[in-house]
Amino acid sequence: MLGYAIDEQQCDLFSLALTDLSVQAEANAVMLMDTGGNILASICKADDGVLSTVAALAAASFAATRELSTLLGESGFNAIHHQGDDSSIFIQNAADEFLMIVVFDKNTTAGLVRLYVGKAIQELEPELLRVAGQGYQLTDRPNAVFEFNESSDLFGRRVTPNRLPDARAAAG
Amino acid sequence: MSFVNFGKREINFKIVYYGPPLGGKTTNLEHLHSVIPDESRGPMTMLSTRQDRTLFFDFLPLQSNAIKGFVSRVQLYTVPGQTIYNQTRRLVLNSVDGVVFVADSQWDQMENNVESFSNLEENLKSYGLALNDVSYVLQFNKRDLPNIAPVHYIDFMLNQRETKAPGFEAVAVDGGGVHDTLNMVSKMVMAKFIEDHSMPVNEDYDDSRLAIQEA
Repeated sequence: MLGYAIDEQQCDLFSLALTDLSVQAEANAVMLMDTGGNILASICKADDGVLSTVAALAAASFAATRELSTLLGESGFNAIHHQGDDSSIFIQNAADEFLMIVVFDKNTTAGLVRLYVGKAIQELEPELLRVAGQGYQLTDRPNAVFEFNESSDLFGRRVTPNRLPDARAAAG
Repeated sequence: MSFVNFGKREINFKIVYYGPPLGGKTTNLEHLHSVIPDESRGPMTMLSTRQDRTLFFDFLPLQSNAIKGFVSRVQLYTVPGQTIYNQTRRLVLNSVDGVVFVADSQWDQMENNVESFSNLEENLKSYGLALNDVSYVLQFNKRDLPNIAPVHYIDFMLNQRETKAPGFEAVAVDGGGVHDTLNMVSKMVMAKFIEDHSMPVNEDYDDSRLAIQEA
């Protein structure tokens, strides 16, 4: 099963668009990801592990909502807005395979966020459609050779196990 | 479905722990979370019911330098084992690269094992995938309990294919076999990626910006 790739120029293009969006919408964090939870670009101060978790949960939230829409006979809900007391999240589908996520607070409004997300998606849509359709395009990258590093243990192992405080806390 | 970001030098993989209810899928991830160093993993997230049963999925992001010049991001998911949550199980399988099937070794769970395995194949089919399209390993869990079936029996029930999947005996609650299972499925996923996508080196290609750097 083939996946897909983005190159340096596309990565720069997406990062630039997200920077503009975060300024215009006065957002705290902006992320462009696919519907499987893979992050294409992000403007956020959180570390990679937290970003991955946000992406996975947002992808799941959107997927569950899409299933709900199917049950209701809708062709699909295009956007989700989770409203909190202080922070809110807006998620909008882009080019069918991708999601734009914006985290914002009381300094801006949902309407403004929605407006600028729509504009950003409109600008990025041709490139996103190209990404979705192009696959790896490794024929354009003859030196893209993937090789294993010599290691039998891919992730390492602690001597003394940690006793899971954050996992249990998250479980509630 | 692996995703390569050449701009960030990252490759993303998704591995799903599948299996019958109460088979030890969440326990696998809990153990991995406890033994993998902080720099190689993110926080573990559990979407559970009040009874600590998985409602949607558990999630543990890992990273490795297993592929030269890239950060390999491996996202581990579990699915809810209970029959009623099939729709969420199917959603979690979206874009999967590798599967760990966690079988419960107890005799009275054999029917659940077979049913869950069949359910895995059905749900993969909904994405146009056959089991052989993804890398998968079997884990024979709960080997410490009494009244367990021999490994060769469970293997016979679940592993009758042209290409047999690797199998690991495990006691997930103590961590036995858990790390080995993860290493194997991760290597299989990455090896398949390398095999599917590597191109021969072109000596004349002189765009040094695109060349892979040695880790």
